Amino acid sequence: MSVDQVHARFQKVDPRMRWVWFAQFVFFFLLPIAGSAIPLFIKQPKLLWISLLAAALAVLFAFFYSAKAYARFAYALADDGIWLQQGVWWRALRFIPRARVQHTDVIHGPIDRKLGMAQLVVTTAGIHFQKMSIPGLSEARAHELRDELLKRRDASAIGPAL
Amino acid sequence: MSSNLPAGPGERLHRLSFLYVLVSQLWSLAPFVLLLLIAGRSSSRDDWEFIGTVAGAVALSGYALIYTLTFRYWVCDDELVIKKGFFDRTLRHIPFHRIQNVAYKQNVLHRIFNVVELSLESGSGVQAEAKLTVLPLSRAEKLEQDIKAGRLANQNRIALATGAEGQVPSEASDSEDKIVLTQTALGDLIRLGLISNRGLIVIGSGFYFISQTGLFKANLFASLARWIRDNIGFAQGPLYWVTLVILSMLMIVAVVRAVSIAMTVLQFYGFELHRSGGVIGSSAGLLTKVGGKTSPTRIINTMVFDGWLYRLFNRQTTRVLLPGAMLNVESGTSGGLSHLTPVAKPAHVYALVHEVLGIDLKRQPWMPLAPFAARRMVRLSLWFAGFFWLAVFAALYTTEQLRWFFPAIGMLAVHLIWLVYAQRKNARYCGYVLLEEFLLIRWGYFSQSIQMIRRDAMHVVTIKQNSFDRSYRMATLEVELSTGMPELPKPNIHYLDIVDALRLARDLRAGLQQLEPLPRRQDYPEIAARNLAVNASAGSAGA
Repeated sequence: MSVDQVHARFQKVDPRMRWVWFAQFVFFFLLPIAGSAIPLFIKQPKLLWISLLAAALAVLFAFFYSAKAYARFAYALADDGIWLQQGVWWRALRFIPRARVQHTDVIHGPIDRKLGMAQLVVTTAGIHFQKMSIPGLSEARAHELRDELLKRRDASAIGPAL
Repeated sequence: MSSNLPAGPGERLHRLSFLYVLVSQLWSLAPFVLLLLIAGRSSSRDDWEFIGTVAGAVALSGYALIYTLTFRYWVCDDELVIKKGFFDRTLRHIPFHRIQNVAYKQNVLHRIFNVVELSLESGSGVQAEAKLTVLPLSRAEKLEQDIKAGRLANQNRIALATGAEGQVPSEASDSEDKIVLTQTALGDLIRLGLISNRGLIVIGSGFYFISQTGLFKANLFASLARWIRDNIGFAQGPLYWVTLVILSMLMIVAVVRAVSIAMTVLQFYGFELHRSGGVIGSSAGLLTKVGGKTSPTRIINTMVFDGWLYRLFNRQTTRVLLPGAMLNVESGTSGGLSHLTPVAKPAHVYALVHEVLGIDLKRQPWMPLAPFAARRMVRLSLWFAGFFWLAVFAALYTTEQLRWFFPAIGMLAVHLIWLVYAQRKNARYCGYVLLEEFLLIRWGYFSQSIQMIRRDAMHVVTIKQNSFDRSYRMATLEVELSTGMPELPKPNIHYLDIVDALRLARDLRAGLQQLEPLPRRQDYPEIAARNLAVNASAGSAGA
């Protein structure tokens, strides 16, 4: 499955997203490892190397996985909707038609604010998949993308499903 | 859309509505009350229990009374306005065009006073737009007519505004003749009861109830063993055990099937699918009569099912998914149209599908899966079989039942040959067809399903690949709809060739491009204003 085959111009998100994901993975893995290391440290200090090894492996995994996840992540705005390509193990190429966009949100989390980034969340009325989230956009780009999605959507509207 | 009340005092619910509200509340609390009764059997009783019960009953009755007394509705030109609540007042405007289904429910209690519970559902799937508990039957029918007339007027206005005259599908009123498309006979329902396993949950709960309450102190199996000893003459030995096991299993199967038949008859007795104008409707039920009407174009997914038991009886079953189907299950009010027919002969089911959707299932150019799909299906099932047989051999080894080793190897061989045969057959049968209005997906062989998905109801199209898919150049195409059921197959096509998957996604996308956008919530005032303008111009044109 390659990006070229859908005939849309795919774009990458901010390269710093790789390090954001890396930090998130590390936090996600290290929290339980640290939690289990404390009783180990009290009861069996000699076995602490197991926790340290697990932590090192987790960091290594996060390093490579985040790189791979960033390499795979791309989005494209087409005339009739928006494409998103993502996933490392389960790779997905997803298309939301413009007409099916329920609403869009531009979200600034604490990390986003610190790095001057924003996240665009596109919501549909699907039953299993409702939200497509594109992080690592500049604030201007997030708003531009949102306006672009909604503007053309309105222009193409003869009238809603009345 | 103004938040002011329309002119006039509005209409009220039926005088006895509070009774039905109360009953439905008690019914929803029934499992909780039953649990309390069973779990609290051993606890000490005192007056607090009595006071609590009385307080609960008073609170529920009060709520039901207030709900009924404060409920008012107004039927306006293009919307239904509902006002309800005393402490927490709600004023709801429901434009007629948003009402996708009208579902009614009538159980024994409803039939006594000739009233009906009416649910008005939109496509949102979150909750019913409005539920009117209860209305006199004649008033419910009148309301349904009003909604239909309002929706038709709206469609005409849009057609007038966009110059698309003559393209408006007529929803027609009930005054047109009702054509009965199918009726299900009692014999067929008994067959469906024998085929399906509807009773399992009820029987499981029944056993739990019996074991908790100790209603039957005597052990059924012990009595069965005694009966065998007295009447057949065995008391021990392998024959005795074989007879005991076979008779016990027969007994369980008989109970399960009996309950299944009873439940099927209760649910589907007198099932009828009819068409009047452009609308199809169904009604069924022995005690509680449930039915609904809808336009065939609102059906999101129509499914035809078939399994080895169905084939044995030469029957098939269907399911229909409308917008908001999930909500009906969650709220326990299985309203609306849910089946084209609960059970019928395959030729009859195909004829119904042709009649309602215009799809001829017999003549479809089914597109195949990827060339190596069969190989992957076989491999996957071999893995599962491998784990199963590993566990069997490990159990034989650890319990030192070595004499069973060779029979087990024989069974393993038969199982593996069967798996390879079945999965190859499976892969050959699976396929898809893209029609102008529908995507058809055919899946399974020994247990078959055909899904007919309306293309304009699709929300998201996804192509997925895991590393196995990548090594075989395959992909899974997933179609996202606004409704679904956990027990029904998802509209996914696995083991597609990646090129076919991308082509199918492209073709689906081309169809999706033609969609009219759904209205956004913030657009509603704008839509209302536009409707008014269209209305005014239509009025002046008419003058």
